[in-house]
Amino acid sequence: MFTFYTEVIKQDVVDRHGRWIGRPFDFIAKLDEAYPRLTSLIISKGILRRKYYVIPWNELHHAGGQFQLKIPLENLATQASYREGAEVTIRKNILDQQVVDTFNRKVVRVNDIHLLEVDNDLRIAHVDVGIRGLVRRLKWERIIDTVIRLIHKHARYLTAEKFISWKYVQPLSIQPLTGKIQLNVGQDQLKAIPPPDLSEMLMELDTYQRAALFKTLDPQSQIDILTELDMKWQRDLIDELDPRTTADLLERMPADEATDLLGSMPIRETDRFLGMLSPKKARELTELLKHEAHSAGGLMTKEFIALKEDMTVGDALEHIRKTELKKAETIHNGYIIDDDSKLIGMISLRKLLIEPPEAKMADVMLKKPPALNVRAPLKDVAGLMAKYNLFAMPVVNVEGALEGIITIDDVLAVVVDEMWGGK
Amino acid sequence: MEEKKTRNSRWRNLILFLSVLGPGIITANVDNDAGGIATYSIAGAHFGFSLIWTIIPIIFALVVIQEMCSRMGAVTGKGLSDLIRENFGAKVTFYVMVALLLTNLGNVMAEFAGVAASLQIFGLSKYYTVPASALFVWLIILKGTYKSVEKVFLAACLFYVAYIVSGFLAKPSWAEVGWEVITPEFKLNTSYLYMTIGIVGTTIAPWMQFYQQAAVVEKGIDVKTYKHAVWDVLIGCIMAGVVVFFIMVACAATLFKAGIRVETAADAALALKPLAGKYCSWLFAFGLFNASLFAASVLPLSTAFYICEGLGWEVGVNKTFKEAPQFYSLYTALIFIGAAVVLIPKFPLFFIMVFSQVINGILLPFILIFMYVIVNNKELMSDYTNGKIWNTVTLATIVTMIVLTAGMIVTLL
Repeated sequence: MFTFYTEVIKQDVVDRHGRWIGRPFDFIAKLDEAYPRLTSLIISKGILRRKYYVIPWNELHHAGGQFQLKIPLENLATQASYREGAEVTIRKNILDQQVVDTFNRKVVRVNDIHLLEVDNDLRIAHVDVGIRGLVRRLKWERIIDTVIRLIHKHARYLTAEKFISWKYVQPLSIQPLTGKIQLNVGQDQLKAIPPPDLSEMLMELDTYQRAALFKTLDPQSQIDILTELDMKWQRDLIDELDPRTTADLLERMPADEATDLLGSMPIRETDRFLGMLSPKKARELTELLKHEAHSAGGLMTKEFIALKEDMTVGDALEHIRKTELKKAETIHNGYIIDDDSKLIGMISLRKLLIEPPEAKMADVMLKKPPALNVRAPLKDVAGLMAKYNLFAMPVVNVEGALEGIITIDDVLAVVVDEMWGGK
Repeated sequence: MEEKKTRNSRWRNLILFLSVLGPGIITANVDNDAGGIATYSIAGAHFGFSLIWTIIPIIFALVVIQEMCSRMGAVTGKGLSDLIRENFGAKVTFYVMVALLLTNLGNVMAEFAGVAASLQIFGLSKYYTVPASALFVWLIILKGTYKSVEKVFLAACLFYVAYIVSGFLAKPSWAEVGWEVITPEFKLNTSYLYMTIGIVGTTIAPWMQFYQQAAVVEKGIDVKTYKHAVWDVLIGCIMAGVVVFFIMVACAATLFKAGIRVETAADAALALKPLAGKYCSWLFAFGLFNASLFAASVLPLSTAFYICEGLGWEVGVNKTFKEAPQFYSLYTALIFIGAAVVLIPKFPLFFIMVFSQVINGILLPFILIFMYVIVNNKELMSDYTNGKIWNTVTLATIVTMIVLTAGMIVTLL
């Protein structure tokens, strides 16, 4: 049997002898099950100096549209406040609050709650985020229904319930002690939301909810989302994290994204974080930071596939599998360098797969590939990549040594920003 | 070394200040909309210097109230309608939103009335000017070009300097002004009370609280950058106060002195005669038109915004109509109805400009009650709850406004 919170809140609470005590003010719920049980009923007394009765559910008998106390009322002490911080109550944490709908990938506000009555228990089944829920809260359900039925018998409004099953709902109230959000949906469910959608949802939350929800994600998801956000929001989120966590994120982020983030900070902070990274990463980022943001050097990453010209195709593939695959940002192309790191050739992965394994790199590679100078401005970068239909372009310094590669996604993001002012 | 540090920190402070600049200054300027100009003009023209004393307590209350909104926005990161929804429930929020909608509809009507009245000075019929400006306002929001137009509007707000100059050129007896300010006379008749409520309502309009808080949240101002936002509020309010003062003085020194009653925009324009001579009406028309159009661009959009936020509907001009139907409908309805009502033949333009502000003043104490509860909630505001002075000022404003409204209704009976 289903019922609504708005219905339950109207029901009477009586004592053992049937005498009227009051109406429910709030409920405490335990969120550890798929359909959470309400574990306590709260009655409030008084107007200015409110006092609350906290009645555990096992002391109640819920039948016939009312709650009956099993124990005498005198056994219960009143409390000045009924929230011990960690507990979840309907009024404070769910009703009228914003929650994340992980099914529809939206941030919504809860208008009413759909409860399941089973045995003596009430369990949360769905949240109602639709307009009917709002109308029900206003106690106008009957009137509005009648009026609409008179005008338009088959109006969509009459059957348009907007329920979201509780298992898809992620409440956003933050535990005051830990500063964290208690995860209701599984980690996989959050992970299943594509980062661009999840970051858009994060934008609809307030600063604290955003940071708290962000903290519940695993590091890889955090990186995926960070890189989706505008710099301002990236900085905002980083501000809420502790330095060690930020350093870990910077360590794992793709070098070009990490450079952008570091570059946007005041120098003192940049230095501090560089000091907390591994020597290798710190060196890499320091190098990249030297370049101007919108030049080839500023957009490139050092994570590319490097090959030698005396390798065979088979060697190269083996080499890629063993060492380079893990750190390369893109595997579209391999770049052949000599002992001085000078760029002498380029080979696409397609070619590596087609050519026989004994073929020598020097024979099959594209000699003197198009490359950009480290200082090349954005316009040249975009233009050359468009001209040669490339997904990635090597970047060399004045001596011809390969410094890094630029991938098309980074260029596109900057071009879109310049042309149309942001995503 | 010490000196260098303070000089650098002063520069940093200035830059930080400029980056959070905006909400307070914009709010203050939109405060002087058609309703504002009309109300202050009539206050000066019909009551002489006798209402000028009200500016001081009103601006003080304005600073307190706008600061509270900034603080709530900075500490909680949420808008005012969100806070009301989360702390008072759906039912209360709904009724507040309805009240806000009707009040703001009145304000939008006042803006279009201002457009009509100002362009009538040039002999343009309201049947052309009002639909045209309604369409203009609707389109610039739809196309998202509001931000670029905002700068133009703000620049045109320099117009208010005209009132300052006029005020001096009219050579009022400053001794008399000072005397009236220090010795306020409380007349208990309907028109005095009506005008006082109107002055409060147009200076501390309820929609301004929602706007200020939303602007603070949108700019991402948090407790760290909040200090600079306070300066923005302070400067904005003082600017507004100065303008109000000079509008009233200029009108009192010219219109009241000559016994001219303000029925039309042309009458009110005469207050600028000391400055602009026979071109005073053109100058006034320009200023009134700019103020009206500016506010007409801000009000419908922000009202639709807060109502949808409070009731949990999708918002944003970057969403399509299908995605955010209530938002687009509300915003379009506000503009359309606001403009349509003004087109009724023989519609009393100046009356609606003042009356809408009186409605603001009547709604104000109720919004303040919600703000009072929220801003003193330790759970929400942690260490940033109100101090005793702020609380006293808020309570005093609430009580005063309710008493004034009750008094006015009593005198009407």
